[in-house]
This record gives sequence, structure tokens and C-alpha cells, in this order.
Amino acid sequence: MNCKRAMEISAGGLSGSLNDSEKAELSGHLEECASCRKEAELLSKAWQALELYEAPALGDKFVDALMAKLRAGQAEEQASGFNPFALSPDTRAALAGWWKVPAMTLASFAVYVLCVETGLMPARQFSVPAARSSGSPLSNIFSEGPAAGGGNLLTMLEGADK
Amino acid sequence: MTEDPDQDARLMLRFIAGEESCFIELVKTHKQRVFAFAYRFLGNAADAEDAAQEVFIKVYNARNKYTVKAKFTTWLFTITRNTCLNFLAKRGHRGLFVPLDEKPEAQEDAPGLQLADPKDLPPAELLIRKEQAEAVKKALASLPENQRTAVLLCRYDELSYEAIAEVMGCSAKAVKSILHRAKLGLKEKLAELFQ
Ligand SMILES: [Zn+2]
Repeated sequence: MNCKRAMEISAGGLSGSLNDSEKAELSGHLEECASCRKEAELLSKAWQALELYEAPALGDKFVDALMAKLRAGQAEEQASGFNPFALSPDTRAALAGWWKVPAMTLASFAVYVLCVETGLMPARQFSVPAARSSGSPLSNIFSEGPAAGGGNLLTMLEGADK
Repeated sequence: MTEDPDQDARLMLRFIAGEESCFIELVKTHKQRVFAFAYRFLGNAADAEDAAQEVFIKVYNARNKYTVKAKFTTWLFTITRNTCLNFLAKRGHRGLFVPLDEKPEAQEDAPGLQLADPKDLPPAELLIRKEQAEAVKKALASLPENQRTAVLLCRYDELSYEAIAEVMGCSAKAVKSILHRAKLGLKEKLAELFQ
């Protein structure tokens, strides 16, 4: 057995899973190798020393305090009154983000309209150019702007596209 | 720990069926282990007691998610570890290490605690033990979280590699490797105790 394997067994706490010949091999190595012997001894002492770190004992008050907290939680739920639309916690969690769906849809639509209006995206399927000619407030901002304004940019891009 | 491991599962099933006394029995059986894990993980008694309370409140509220397939203690320690991780996150950069000197103040905030009376030990020995305990606490606190969890579950709760793996969500082989590194780390940090 080499030093690496001896240390693996010592630090891995694997000595319990070794067969008799492996155990004999390990103790043989530790007997003749002072360095591994010292390491194994330190490993074992450090592991033993963990028992010095004791946790204090919990008394029965712990259970009383816990049950009081649980009762207070239940009382709070009951005090909020009977609600025929009351939802289970799982359903509440599932519905918690319901508003995100319409919000994201609206936001995406707003971004699309803005892109079309500013000329970052050519409008093909929607009749946005018609809306512009009819003088929607958004298109007015651009069509009344300087020569490099969004309306001109849109026309240039549309031209380049063709 | 309950002597019959299936006893926990039976109590849990009776609790799910509506017998609250079974929940109280489970709390009484496991409160010390849960608290001790949290105490060594978080490094102070007040936080550990709060965490232990939170663990059992979660057990109470999540009773319908318990399946007999999972061993009760494995499930309980998974909740305990996650709760302790949340406490650490909430605590942020305040860090883990609270010297043992601060223990009495912390325990005033933790009414559920009963301290073992240390008066039976001679003062010199008491001092040495306190210093050694402090060194162990520091060494544990300095380990990465996964190593600390594995050490606590292996050394103090005597969980199998497989059970630790289940709590930590990794393989038993990974647990062995984590423990190997943890032991080498502890040896380095505690070596001066044995000089
Ligand atoms: Zn060697």
C-alpha cells in the first residue's frame, strides 16, 4: 500500500469497509511510515474533537412556543373571516403571477408599435403606415421632426428593403 | 431518534389523517437533533432555535407533500438544511462565527433552552474544554457549506452516505469525496490543538 492510498482510507473513514487483508496492509503501512502514521493520528483526533462542540439542550418550552405560533397562524386565518373564494396555498402560489401574462402581452405590443413607428421594424402585416398618414400622435412626432427623423428613416429602410 | 424508523412514518401518516398529537410527538422526538444541527450550522443558539421552529412549522404546513417513500429523518434534514441556508442568506455578510462567550446573551433570547450545568468540572479543565470547543466551532464555520453539512450529518447525526446524499441532492460517491476534503480541512485547522 502506498502513502496516497493509506491517506485516502484514513481520511475517507473507509477502514470499516476494508476486508481483513486490506486492514492488515493499512496497519502495516502505518507502522512503518511515520508520516502517514502522524497524519492518520491527526485525522482521527480532529474527527474525535468534534464531540467537544456540544449543543445546548432544548427544553419543553420549545414545543409550547411552536404550538402557540401554529395556533396564532390558524387564528389569523380564521379572523380574516369566511371567504367563499378562499384559495389553497398551492392555488394561490400558482396564481401569484397571473398579471404577468397580460402585462407581457401589452408590453410586447407596445415595443412592436414603437419599433414600427420609429422605423426599426418595417410594418408588413399591420396597416401602421395608414395610421401614420391619418395623423396618430406618435407618427406626428416623427413626421414633423428634422430631416433625419424617424419617418424618413422608415422610408429609407423600406426603400432599401425593396 | 425514534428507535423504530417506521414509527416516524406511522406518526406522520396519523398526523396527516388529523391526529395533531402525533405531530407533537414527532416534534418532541426530533427537536433536539434539528436544533443541534442548526446550532452547529449557524453558530448561535437564538438563530438555531428560530430555525428549528421554522423547520417544524414547514413540516406542519407541508404534511401533504410527505410521502412514505422518503425516510422521515431524511425529509426532515432536507427541510432543516434549506431553512438554515435561508437563515445564512438573510444574515448576509454578518458571517457565521459568533464566539462562545456570546452564548449566554444569545440564549436569553432563546427561552426554550436548558443549559447543562458546567459547574461539575474543575475551572482549569473547563477553560481548556471551552478553548477546544471554540477551535472546533471556528474550524467547522470555516468549512464550505456542503462540507459542513456533510460533517454535521455524518459525525453528529450518524446518517449513512446514502441518506446524506439524499439530503444534499448528490450521489453517495460525492458525499465521500466531500467528507474526505472536510476531514483534511479539519485536520489542518485543529492540528494545533494536538501539538
Ligand atoms: Zn505513508
